Amino acid sequence: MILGLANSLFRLFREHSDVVSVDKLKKDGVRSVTVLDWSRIDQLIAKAVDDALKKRGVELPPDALASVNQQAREAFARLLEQRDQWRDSAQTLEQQKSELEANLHRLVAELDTARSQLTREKTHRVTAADVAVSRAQMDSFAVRLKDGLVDLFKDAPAGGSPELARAAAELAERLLADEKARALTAAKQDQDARIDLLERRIAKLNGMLESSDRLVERLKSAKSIDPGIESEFREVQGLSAADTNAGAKRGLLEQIFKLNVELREAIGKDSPPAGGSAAEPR
Amino acid sequence: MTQEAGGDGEVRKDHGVLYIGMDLGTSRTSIACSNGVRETVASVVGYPKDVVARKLLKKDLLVGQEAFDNRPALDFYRPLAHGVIKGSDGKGDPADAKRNLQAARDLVRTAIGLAKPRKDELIYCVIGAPAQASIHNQRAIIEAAREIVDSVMLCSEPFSVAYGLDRLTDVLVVDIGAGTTDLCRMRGTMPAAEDQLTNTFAGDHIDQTLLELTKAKCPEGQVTPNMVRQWKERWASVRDTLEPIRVQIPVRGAPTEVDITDAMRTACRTLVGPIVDGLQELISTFDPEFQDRLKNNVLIGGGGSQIDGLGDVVEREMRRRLGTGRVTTVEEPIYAGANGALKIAHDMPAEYWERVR
Ligand SMILES: Nc1ncnc2c1ncn2[C@@H]1O[C@H](COP(=O)(O)OP(=O)(O)O)[C@@H](O)[C@H]1O
Repeated sequence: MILGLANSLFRLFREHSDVVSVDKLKKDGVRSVTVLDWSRIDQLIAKAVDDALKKRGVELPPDALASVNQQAREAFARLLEQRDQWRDSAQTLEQQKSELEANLHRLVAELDTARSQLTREKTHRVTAADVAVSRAQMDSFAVRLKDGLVDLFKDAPAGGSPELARAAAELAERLLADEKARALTAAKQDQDARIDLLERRIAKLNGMLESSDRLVERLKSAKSIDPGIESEFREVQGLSAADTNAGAKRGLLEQIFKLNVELREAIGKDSPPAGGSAAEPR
Repeated sequence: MTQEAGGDGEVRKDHGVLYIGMDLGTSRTSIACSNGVRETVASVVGYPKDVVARKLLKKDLLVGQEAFDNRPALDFYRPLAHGVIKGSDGKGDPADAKRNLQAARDLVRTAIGLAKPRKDELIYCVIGAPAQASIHNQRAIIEAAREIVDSVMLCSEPFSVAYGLDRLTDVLVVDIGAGTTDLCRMRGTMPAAEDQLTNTFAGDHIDQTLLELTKAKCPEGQVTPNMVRQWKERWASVRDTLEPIRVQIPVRGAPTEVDITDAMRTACRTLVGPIVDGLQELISTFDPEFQDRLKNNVLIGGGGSQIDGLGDVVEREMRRRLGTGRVTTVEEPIYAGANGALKIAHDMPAEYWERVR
């Protein structure tokens, strides 16, 4: 029962564990926030314990009372610690939020780049004109040409012939065309692969963006002040004609209105309200 | 005016209309709103006494129960004494009057905040204020509300209770509070001084009587006002036959069971005589042709109306002394005034709201 009492006491304190920020205290002239008047707190605790006991009509022997007070003090110290932890986690949350927002910006930039790359790739398909044969390709071409020529000349009489020369030229041309076609196909495959990659990247970035957006929204709504609860009414209502007592009510409402107009006039005469413009109709 | 006075850019209030009905009472302030919110707070306000207290409480302003709970660390105000804002009558210490007005403002502001209004909604508020509030009182209430709402109207609290229950005219409203029982005869919307009577046979009087009777029964027991109030709020009844009420009272440290059934009945019944006296007075000075209508149109509200069987016993006593009587107890004593004020706000034509902005 004693522990329960200490706990319930400190539930009271806990209920008041927000609002005044360290900054605000500083503004209020408190230079060192660690300054806590423990003797005052001790007094408060002892008083709270005393009140709570009295409220319940309980009288404790001095040593039991001292023990309750001690427990109360300990619970209080724990509570202070908890409060600091809460404040820390609030700060972490704030930090997470700004990190997330920065991340979000990066994501959006990346997505933009990926999208314009994709458009570029799609509007500018690779053609033969774009294909440059690389050094390595030239090397492999040279090797194959050499092999082909060796093959061609294998059974040929020494000194050659015009047919042979034409055949050699054709071979070289065909091999070169093959090489170009291969290069073009490879380039096209590369582009397709790039497009595919970009498309997949964009889809993924979009997904990340959406979930980050949701997270930021959630963090925002968790942090920001309550937007309020919406009224049932979009428009000013007024007495319904269907009201069974509409006639009598109309008269009474008019009376109230008139009394309030008189009241405003009396107030105005008495002395104008501070701020002035409040009474002006739109 | 909008909430954002002096802020950068006015909030457009084109989203909707929030109606707030408020019952600004001596001991409780309650609101009922068109967004479904219903809240009640004790009408007490506290400000931390010093920097240490503020650091401890982490707040500059405490209202309601939490102000009670931290009272030793606070400058503590009950801004509505006897239903009117203390100090707004221009009597007494001006500095004290100023602080009380500030406390009243903070109370009204806090109560409106409890409605969780959206910034983009128009807020129209009807405040049921004690019928006897002076022009100074009413001014203070209006000024406090105006800081936050777009348009505010006052009406007398007993009228709002009656309007809320569709008892529009020739009705007698009995409001049993903590310190006083207020009786009010309503013809139109604004009772005159001769339409009102007040006596001190109310909640606190029951507590006091019950305390004395309990002490007489158990002289050794430790009984506090707080304990008896809790018993009352749980078991108050005026019925002839009751389930036995047994409570635990510490006697030299040991909990001891005491039967307080008769004490409870006796204490609660101390209100009945004075109520019927008051009713009789207000009825007998009324237009004789309408006296029977009044007798049959008695409404009992306030926290004390929750005393079990009170309506029946008052009715019985009225029949005995006045020949006839019909008594209704409000269903929701805490919200009856606020509900009525909300209904008035809802029914009030748009042009009236515009004209008192
Ligand atoms: N269930 C209950 N039975 C009897 N009395 C009650 C009950 N609940 C509250 N009360 C009493 O009602 C009184 C407060 O009434 P209320 O109308 O809230 O006050 P006021 O009119 O003074 O603002 C207190 O004396 C309180 O103890």
